[in-house]
Order: sequence, then structure tokens, then C-alpha cells
Amino acid sequence: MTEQAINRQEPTQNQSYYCPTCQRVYMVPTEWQAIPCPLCQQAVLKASPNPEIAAPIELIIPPALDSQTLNRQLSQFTKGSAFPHPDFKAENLEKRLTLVYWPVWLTDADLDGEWDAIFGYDYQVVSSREKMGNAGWSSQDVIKTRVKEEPRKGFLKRHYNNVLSPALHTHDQRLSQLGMVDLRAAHSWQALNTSQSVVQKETLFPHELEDGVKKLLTNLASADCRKASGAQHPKSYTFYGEFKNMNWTKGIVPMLTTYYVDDKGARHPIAINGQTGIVYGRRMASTKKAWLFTGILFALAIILMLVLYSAKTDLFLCPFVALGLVFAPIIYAAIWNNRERNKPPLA
Amino acid sequence: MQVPKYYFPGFEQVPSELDGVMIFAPIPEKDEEEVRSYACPQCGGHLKFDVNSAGMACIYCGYTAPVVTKQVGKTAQSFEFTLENVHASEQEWETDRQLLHCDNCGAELSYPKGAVAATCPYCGSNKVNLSLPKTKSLRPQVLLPFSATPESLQPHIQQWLGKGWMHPKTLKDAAQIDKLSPIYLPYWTFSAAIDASWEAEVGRYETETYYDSSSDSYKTRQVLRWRWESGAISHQFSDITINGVNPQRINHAMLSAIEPFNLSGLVLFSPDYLVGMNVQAYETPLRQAWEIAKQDIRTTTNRLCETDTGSNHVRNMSIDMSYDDEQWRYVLLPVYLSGYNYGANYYSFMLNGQTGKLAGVKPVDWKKVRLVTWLVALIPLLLALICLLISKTSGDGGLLFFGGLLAVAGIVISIALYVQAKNAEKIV
Repeated sequence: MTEQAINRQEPTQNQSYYCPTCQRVYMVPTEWQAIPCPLCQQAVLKASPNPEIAAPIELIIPPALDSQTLNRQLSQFTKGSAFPHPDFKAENLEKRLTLVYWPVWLTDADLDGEWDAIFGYDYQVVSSREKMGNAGWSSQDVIKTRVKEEPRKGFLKRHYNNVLSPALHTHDQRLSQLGMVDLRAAHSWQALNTSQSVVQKETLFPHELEDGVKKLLTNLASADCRKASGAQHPKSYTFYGEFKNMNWTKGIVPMLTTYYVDDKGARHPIAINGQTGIVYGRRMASTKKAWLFTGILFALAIILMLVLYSAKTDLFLCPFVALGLVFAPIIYAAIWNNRERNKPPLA
Repeated sequence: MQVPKYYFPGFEQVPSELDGVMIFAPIPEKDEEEVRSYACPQCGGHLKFDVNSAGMACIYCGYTAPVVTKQVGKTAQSFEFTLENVHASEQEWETDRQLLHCDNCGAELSYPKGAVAATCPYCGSNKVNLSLPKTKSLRPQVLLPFSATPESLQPHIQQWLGKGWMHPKTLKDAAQIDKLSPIYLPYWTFSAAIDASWEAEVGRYETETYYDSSSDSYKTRQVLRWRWESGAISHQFSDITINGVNPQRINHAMLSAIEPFNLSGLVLFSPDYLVGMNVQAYETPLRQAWEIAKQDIRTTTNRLCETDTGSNHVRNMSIDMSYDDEQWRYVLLPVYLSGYNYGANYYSFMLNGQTGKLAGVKPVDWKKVRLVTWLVALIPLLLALICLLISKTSGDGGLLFFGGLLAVAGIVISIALYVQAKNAEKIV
């Protein structure tokens, strides 16, 4: 259960809130007390002064993660991090989970018209590889697969259902961070479905997306025509027909967000795909812990040097070398953090 | 989905593997009608290809018509070694005899496997069968038309017969020469790119300093040192020509002797070129011919790798070679077959139908050859004997040496003449 869920009661109505830092807008159950932005974790959400009306939700993809899978995914994520912050533990992350739905547009359309394409067809040729040695030449047949390009034309009349298109400007980034969603699990939305969760508001609207969706539909048509032609490779495809009966449906996709707190008290957001459990976030190293390791190694090196010096062996210089290596933890932590900071923030 | 009233020109509907998608693909080139008969539009007589006019000609009324084609030369379409082509070239020559129906007189003709053009023995009409073989790429796509006419070649043949002292003096006049019989012979041409990496022990001369105790000094000398070296070469082989005729049917050595053909004269195939001609389809399948071509490629690659070492001293060479972009063409090349009677024997010869280059067998006048070889051997021997006698009396050692040299030279020359005469009996 999430922290927020403890104070939750039966839902009344969701209200529009925004994050003053990242400007994301959410619909949050009205009975919830002020919560931090689930995606940036940098500020507490504020009620929108001029709440815009979000498009009605029609389809919902329910979360499909069981607690075991979630625990395993978070444990894997927290393992293998260099000098992890004390708070960066799977159980802490699990305690702070918030269910966030993010919007997508699902488009239905009929494509009707003429198409023109060049497709690639695989064919095989017999080639040879030969070797010459003391015993003379030996030859071996090699079957090579080559691609022959051929023009195809035709007509297409097909219906396309639930073509996924973005409702957020960060849609593509989010998919690249959390992986794809399976739309087959979608069903009709009811208010109860989101009564205990945050719903991110869309930033893109159908009128802005028409060209992009037509491109997506054309790609699907291209794949269908290629398949219908028995070809293996698409080379070029043009659809000259009409996009009829375009219908836009707003769907919401589940995601879990959580965070951990670093040595300085700053929060670092983590997001989890609500269907597959793919985890994304920056796993920062604790510089405090790295310094501690450095200090311990330094002390050990000094002690070793003194012991060897008093033993009057020629090895007493070795700890000087070790002194150079004691800084390895802090250098490693700095490199690690630099790499993590270069990862894109949560989309 | 309804078939639309309009259509895509040059395209035809093909089966679709998905509902709601109608597919049109380019219309494949239709096969030519299987058997073509050639009748004169003026008199109804029989047309045949006439080398002199380089077109169709009626042997009765003199009607002529040019052959419509295009010169493509070495840019003629070539094909890859697809599994289909390789398999088809080996499978499509299983039937020994072919049947052909003569539309002119109704006769059913049986003619040998591989013969593409035929003349009905009953009515004399000329026919060209284009249905062999079924795979289109294995039908001739290009040919080299005859450009040397039989008339223009006659003096050349006479000259050839009269050439050479070791042949009978009467050969030129007494030989009864047959009519030149034009025939298109099947050839495969191959092109391929190769990448070969080699490894070998390469010997290189190095200067070595050593101490010479006899002269009490340091000297230098050249020493051959062997080291393992490696390298790689790439090479493009173009238009390696291999004839596709059964060696039992046509003398391959004689055929090689009238090569090369200039392939830049290749024209797109038209059946008109074959009317009234003998045409032989290939008997050596594609794969077998490619293996013969590959022997040339191996030899050349071996030589190129040796050259790549940059040394004349190479041993234990190993080569790893891969082929790429292998292409082949099936072409018909023009040859005149003929022969002549001399005495009781028949001797054959053939001519390159493009260049007129001639090769054939000529009888050798062995009486004349024996006489000459004996004389060539005996005269120097006699001279050597004289030299020996003179040197014995005068004590001139130089003369003795000269006589010995003469004797040896005479024997060598007479042997060479004998060998040459033996070879002249084969193909010249």
C-alpha cells in the first residue's frame, strides 16, 4: 500500500492539480492531502487556479503487476548500485508507491484507397568459398540470401483499431524509459478505476496529432500490404487514399512512481511500468559512503605503512602505492554519479 | 473487395495473403509462341536468315527484311546463380528427342535434344522452337550475329589450304571443299568478383655481412631468407567464355583455336537470326560450365596472389577465396563448320563467324617432311665431318667446335620440324 493510501477514503471527485516545478498537471482525488509531484518529487502539487477540463477517459489499462514481481524488479534495480544511499532499498521504494495513470490516444480509422510500393523479396543464390593448400583446391557451396526489389500497386480497404498515439509531449521518451504497453488488456473506464490514483493530464490533443496518426496508420497499412504481397522487406510505400471515420479515444496507462532520499535529503523519483515492471530512475551513489570507504582505506594504508616501517623491511614503501588507491571509491562514486546524471530525467 | 474498373498499366492482379488488400504486380514477359514458322509474305516461299543482307531473305523471290534487334554488347543482361536457375539447367535436358509439328505439311518431326531450329525434310519450311528450355533465363537472351559471309571467307580458306610447306602441294587445288555450314553454338559467359587472402613462405634476398678468413676481411653477400607472410587481393573477372557443347559432338580444341569472339557485338536475341540455321542449345549444364570457368579463376587467383607477395620465391602458399556477385549469360556465337575431301580422306575445319579466324586439320606430306628432316640433319653432319677432317690436319680447334655445333643444330632442327609436322596433322 502507498503512503497516500493510508489517509484515503472513498472517492468523491478528482481535482486538477499542477506541479509548480515541472508544470505537469494531474487529476488527484479531492480527499487526498497535498502530495508531492509523483514524477519529479521536487514540489508539492497545487490546485490549478484555472483548471482546464481534461478529455473524458474512455479506456483504461489496469495495472498487472503482482507484489512478488514488483518486489523482484525493485530488488534487482536497487542491487548493483555503487555506494547506495541508505534509503535506496526495495522495501522503502515499495512503501512509497503511487499509482499514476498517464494518457494516450487510441485512434480507430478506416483506410480506403490506392497504394504504391517497392518491396524487397528474399531469394537465395549459390556462391562458393574455396581454399587452396598443399592438397590443391577445395570448394564449398555457400547459400547466400539476397533481396530483389519489385514494384507493387494495389488497393487497400481495412479498418484499424486502437492505434496508439501520444497524448503527452514526453510520450516517446516515456516508452523508451518504461517499455511498451499492451493495449489488449484495455477495457472501459469507470470512475472507480481511478479513485485511488493520480491521472496525468494530456498535453497533446487530436487536432495536433492528425498528421502523426496518419503516418502511423500509413506505416500499419504498409506492413499489411507487404505481408499481403508475401514480401520480406519494405523499401518504399505511399498511400493515396482516404482516412475515414477517424475516432479518438482517450485511454490511460498504469505506472507506479516512488522515490528515495539521498544523504542531503533530496528526493529522487523512480517509475515502474504498471504492466511489465520495468523500472527507470537515476541510481545515485552516496558520496558520504564513498568518503567513508576512502577514509577507512586511508587509515589502513597508514597503519600498514607504520607496521612495515617498524619491521624495517623493504616493503614499507608499498603503502605509498596503496595511498594512491585509497581515493578509488570517491573517484568511482563521482564517475558513477556523473553517468547517472546524464540519464534523461523521468519523462 | 470488388475489382476496380480501372487498372494499373503493365500490372496484373496477383493473390493477396490478407483480406482488404488487393495487389497488382508487373506483368511477366509473356513467352514467345513456342514454334515459329517463316513464310515469305510475297510469294509464300521459305524465308531464311541471310548473312549477306544481315536479314531475312526469301530464297525464291528475293524478298528481304531486316531483323529488328538492338546491339547490347557486354552490357547484355546477366543472371545470378539462383537455386532455381542452377536446378533448372540440370533438369531441363532429360528428354533425348523432341517432337515438332510442321504446320506447313503436317509432318511430325523428331529432332535431337538441344536443336533449337529445324528445317522440315518433307516441305523444306524453316522453324524455330523457342520453348526450350522452360526457364526463361536458360533460353538465349543475346547472340552474336554472323558478320563474315561464306563468299568473303572462300579466299581465306584457299589461302589456308595453300599455306605451309609440309602439306601436299596439290592440297589447295585438289581439295573438294564442302559448303560452309553456319551454326550458332551455345556459350556460357561468367563474371565474378573474388576476395582472396593468402599465406605463404616468401623468400627475399637480404644482404649479410660475413668474415672471410682467406682475405682477413669482412664482406657482404646476398642470402635468401624465408619468412611467413600474408596478404589479400580482390579481383573482378569478366566474361570468362566457356562453350556449352558436348566435346563428343564438336572438337573443343578446334573451337578454342578460332576464339576469341568480340562480345561487344552481342545483340538482343531474335528468333529471326536462327531461321534456316543450325542452332545447338547447351549440353554442358550451367553448374558444370561454371566449374570449368572456376578453374581459370583459381589459376589466375593463384598467380595474382604470387604476384602480390612481391617476390619470385614463394612456397607453401595457401589461399582462402570467397566469391561474390557471380553472374552468367547464355549466348549463341556464330561458327561455320565445314570440311574437305582430299584423296580418300575427309578433313574438317571451322571458322569464327564473326572474325573469320580459321582452324582445321590438314594432311601432311610425310614424304616431303621426311626428306627435308633428313636433309636438315645430314647436311650439317656432312659439314661437321669436313670440319673434323680439316681441323685434324690443320689442328684448328675452333673449326672442330664449329662443326660440332653445326651437327647438333642440324639434329635439333630436324627433330623440331618433325614435331611441327606431327602437330600440323592435328589442328592448324
